[in-house]
Amino acid sequence: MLRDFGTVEPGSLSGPYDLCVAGTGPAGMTVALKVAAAGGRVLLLEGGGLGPTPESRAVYEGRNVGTVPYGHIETCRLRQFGGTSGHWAGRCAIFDRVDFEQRDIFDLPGWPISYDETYRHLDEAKSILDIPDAELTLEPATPWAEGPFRIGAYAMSPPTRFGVKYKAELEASGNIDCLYNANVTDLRLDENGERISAVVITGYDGREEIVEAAEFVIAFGAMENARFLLNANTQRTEGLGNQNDMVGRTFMEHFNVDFGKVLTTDERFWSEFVEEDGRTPPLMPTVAKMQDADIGNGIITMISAAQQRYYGRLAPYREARRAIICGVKPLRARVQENDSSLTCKDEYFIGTLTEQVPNRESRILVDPDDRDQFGKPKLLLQYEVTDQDWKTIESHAFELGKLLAGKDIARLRVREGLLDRTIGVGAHCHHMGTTRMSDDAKDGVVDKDCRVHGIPNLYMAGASVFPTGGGVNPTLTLVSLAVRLGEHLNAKAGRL
Amino acid sequence: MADQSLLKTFGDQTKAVAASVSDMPTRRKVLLGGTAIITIGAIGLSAASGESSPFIRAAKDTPRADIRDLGDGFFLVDGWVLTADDLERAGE
Ligand SMILES: Cc1cc2nc3c(=O)[nH]c(=O)nc-3n(C[C@H](O)[C@H](O)[C@H](O)COP(=O)(O)OP(=O)(O)OC[C@H]3O[C@@H](n4cnc5c(N)ncnc54)[C@H](O)[C@@H]3O)c2cc1C
Repeated sequence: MLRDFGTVEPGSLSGPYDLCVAGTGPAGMTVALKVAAAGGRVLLLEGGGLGPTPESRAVYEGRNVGTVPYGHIETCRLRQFGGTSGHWAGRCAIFDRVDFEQRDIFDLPGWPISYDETYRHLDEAKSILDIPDAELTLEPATPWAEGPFRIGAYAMSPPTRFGVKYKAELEASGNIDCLYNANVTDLRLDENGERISAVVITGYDGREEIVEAAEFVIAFGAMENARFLLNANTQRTEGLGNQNDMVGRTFMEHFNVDFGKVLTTDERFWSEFVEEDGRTPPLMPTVAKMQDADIGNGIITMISAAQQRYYGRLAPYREARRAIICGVKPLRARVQENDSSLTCKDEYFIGTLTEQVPNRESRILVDPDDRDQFGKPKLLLQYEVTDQDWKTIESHAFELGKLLAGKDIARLRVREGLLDRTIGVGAHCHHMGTTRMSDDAKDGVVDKDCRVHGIPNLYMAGASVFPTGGGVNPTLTLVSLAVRLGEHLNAKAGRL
Repeated sequence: MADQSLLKTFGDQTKAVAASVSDMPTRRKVLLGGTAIITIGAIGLSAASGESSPFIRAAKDTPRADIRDLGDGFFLVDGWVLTADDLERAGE
């Protein structure tokens, strides 16, 4: 059943449910459907409406107090039925084995589960994301590799909008009670203070319901997962799962650094690299390069300036100016010397998706001086980038420059800001790592089953559990882990 | 500037986000570029590879002391990643 919490009779929610899942994005929805399919009775709670609403958006407000700008706290997340899948782009790929290892480039353990275990449910995850069977198998073949680079394998989801794909199924479901406009504002521990006994749901009119369940899964995305645990401090002052001060730490993104421009010098550039849409396929460092140079993973794409469009009233003027300047060699050279934003059609922009290493100081905090409409401290992001991250960004750039110049097909000119580290690191809306998975509770927040250390019936779902961010988009991996979590909960309750 | 070209990939729904964020949803179809791109690109090649190319000029104008050795026979010259051959052509 799918209902507006505002229309639910007070006191009519008849717990205890087998499972309470909070959040209807790819992570939460996947766990709920998996458990319901095995006969579990599920309460699925969504804080937003069926579409965007101003009062729900306001709950996601926050600010960055770190030393590195991050302008996407609100725009990167959709607080509504189906979650951020309402505007994700659908690009999917599989991490590399090396991404799971403990590496010298950061001072925390790697993943406590293996690559094979993480992707044990890959086929199910692909079908949830509507990726054809034949695409993206384990150990995907590298279509091309040369020197320090390989071309990474990926597939596109249509993209699957969870709120659209699963709405009818939820409406018809006898096992899932799904409520929207149902904000999860707290969890209650039992009288021994050991297990979670109930969830506190608050409506936009302030009405509260407390509902019991046997197991609880929080799936709000990595920023909100951490804020929620930190704010759930009525019975544990440090927040839930935060006995080792790890909740919110190691917030990771993927950098998107426009680190320079590529000037093509030979037609072989197009035949070697360019796809139909004017972009180059994703170039990734080889594992050997990452290991030799002690750098992180990632993707570099070169995007043809011929694809660039101007927008707005001045578009025709700017297009004409570009055509004239680019057509006259000496003029072009002089103008581009002073205006690096002028691009001619034989040039390529750079887009990257670059790994950010786990760093305790890059973290989510809460702001006791600024509260949301439920009285909960708003989100504070302390966004930090390490020397190691800059080393990765710089190395990817120089290696690309060497590849192109070495083949004599193009030359890369890096931006000044790359060298003095004033260039923007960009973002991809891939929020990861704030409740990281670890064997030892001092290194993370959840164990290898995604269960919060020290609380036997509380689980986290989504990319917040990633111990490292790898060099590809996260959603396929987080959906694989959500299927795995659903299976774990079914096995625990003897539902298999 | 790059942001503007990236807008296209997101569609209208996410223009605000896409103006500054990209998820690079490229489609792998064929490795060979379309003729349009080749034609457009070829126009610029003579400008790019000849003596008047901006990187050869940069190499000419940059004092030797400001050239950074990037290893493996490559050099950083006024932001350009160049080969030893490029420097030779520039008369370095
Ligand atoms: C523009 C854009 C493009 C992207 N493109 C890609 C891509 O190409 N490939 C890729 O892999 N990833 C991409 N992503 C990232 C992708 O969207 C996320 O990885 C994915 O949505 C995360 O799923 P989730 O379920 O963990 O969180 P979300 O999808 O954010 O879902 C969280 C849910 O929790 C709900 N919620 C929050 N707080 C509460 C509360 N207190 N009570 C009840 N409910 C609550 C929210 O309303 C929401 O429904 C993109 C993101 C953006 C913004």
